[in-house]
Amino acid sequence: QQRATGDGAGTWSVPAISFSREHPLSRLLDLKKAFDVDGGVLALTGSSHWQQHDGRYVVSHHVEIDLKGGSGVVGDGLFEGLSTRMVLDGEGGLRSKPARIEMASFNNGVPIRDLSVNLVLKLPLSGDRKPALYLSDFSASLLGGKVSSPEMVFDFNRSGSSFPVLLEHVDIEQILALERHEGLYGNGFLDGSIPLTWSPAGVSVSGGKLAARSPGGKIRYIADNTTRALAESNMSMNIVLGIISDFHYHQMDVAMDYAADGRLLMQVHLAGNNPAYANGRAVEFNLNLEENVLRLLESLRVAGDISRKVDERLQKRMKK
Amino acid sequence: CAPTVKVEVPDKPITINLNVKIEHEIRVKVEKDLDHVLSQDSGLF
Amino acid sequence: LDLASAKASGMVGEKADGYLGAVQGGGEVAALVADINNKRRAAYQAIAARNGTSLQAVEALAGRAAQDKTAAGQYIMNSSGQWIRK
Repeated sequence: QQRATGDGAGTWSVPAISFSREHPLSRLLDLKKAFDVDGGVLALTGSSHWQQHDGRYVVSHHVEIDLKGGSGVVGDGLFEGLSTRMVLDGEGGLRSKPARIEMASFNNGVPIRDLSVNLVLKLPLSGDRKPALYLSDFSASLLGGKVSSPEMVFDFNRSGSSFPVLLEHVDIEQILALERHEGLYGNGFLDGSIPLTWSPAGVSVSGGKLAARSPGGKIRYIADNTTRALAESNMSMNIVLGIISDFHYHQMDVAMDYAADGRLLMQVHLAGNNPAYANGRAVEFNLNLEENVLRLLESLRVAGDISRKVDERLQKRMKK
Repeated sequence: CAPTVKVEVPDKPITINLNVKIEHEIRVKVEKDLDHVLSQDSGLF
Repeated sequence: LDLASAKASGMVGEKADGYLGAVQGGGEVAALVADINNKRRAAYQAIAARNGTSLQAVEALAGRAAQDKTAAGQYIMNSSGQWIRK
């Protein structure tokens, strides 16, 4: 520090920290409940400069973050292969240059792979301003297809924001397999656009549109004995089960809405036939489907041992 | 969920309207209970 | 004869209905299968009652979970009733 002008600078660096189950990030920082990093290597370097401007000190910071192979828990899911190199500068708050973030996999019931995005992070250091994240060129693969979004904003100072999410070539066979309903099978590929609205309260969708790629595909439902017994007494149900035992569709359109509490409402319109039913007479199928996606994900986490692994990794922290 | 089925003149398509509500609540609870039974210390699996 | 070694040596396997099946016969194997299945049925009935659902629904979910968790190389019964190694 030069005494005369009162200006000064200091640099600091944290040599590479290796995280592990025994030494997770939560050992160093007091982290929110459902977040921890227990794998990967992090290096931090930084410098601060303070200058006197008309009697007041202005402190500016420069921070460089380098994370490789980060793994751990976020929310109810597990992540692996998180890497980024981020440079942040600023005075009252830190603002990052666009940083490329890559994540090999994230799984909170449905495995998502090869996530990548460019992030600009605004991190206030004091006062009541909250962080803001500006994401661009997000893409990831899931269910045999790709999900992407050109631009997403998560600004905790605003009530919320909306942005388009695109789905390409999502495999209907894998979607139906998630339901794990005995006797239900289907194939074909969906593309679509989902207008997502985010707010600190959660995510919602209104007016999502999906459609199956031509030539379409098949839906097969082989009813179990109880459902078949039920159908004996109900002529319409019998017809429905007859048709969907081997339904070939050439057109599938889906309109979907999703609420922050997990409720998914879908209007599915199918056009096609069952070649072996009423000698292949054309069928128009209008299906109103309702389910709770958050419960579905929870069920998938239990079945896939994800919830047990998450509990174990968070439990380890309790025994500090 | 009682579907409604219209089967009119042969050349017109059969129209089916069906409402389905998939319940996961019970299934999640059952799977959690089963998870305990399936874990090693139950000795049953 | 305990369950773990019976499974490891391919004498028993998991069926889709949530119960154990004998892959190879033999009195001791049959006794083990009967004992384990009785205990499982009791556990399933308790779960069904507690969650207000049918025994059959619990058995189907148990069968799927047990077959998913069966170690590679051990036996499970496929939908056409044949024993296959996972």
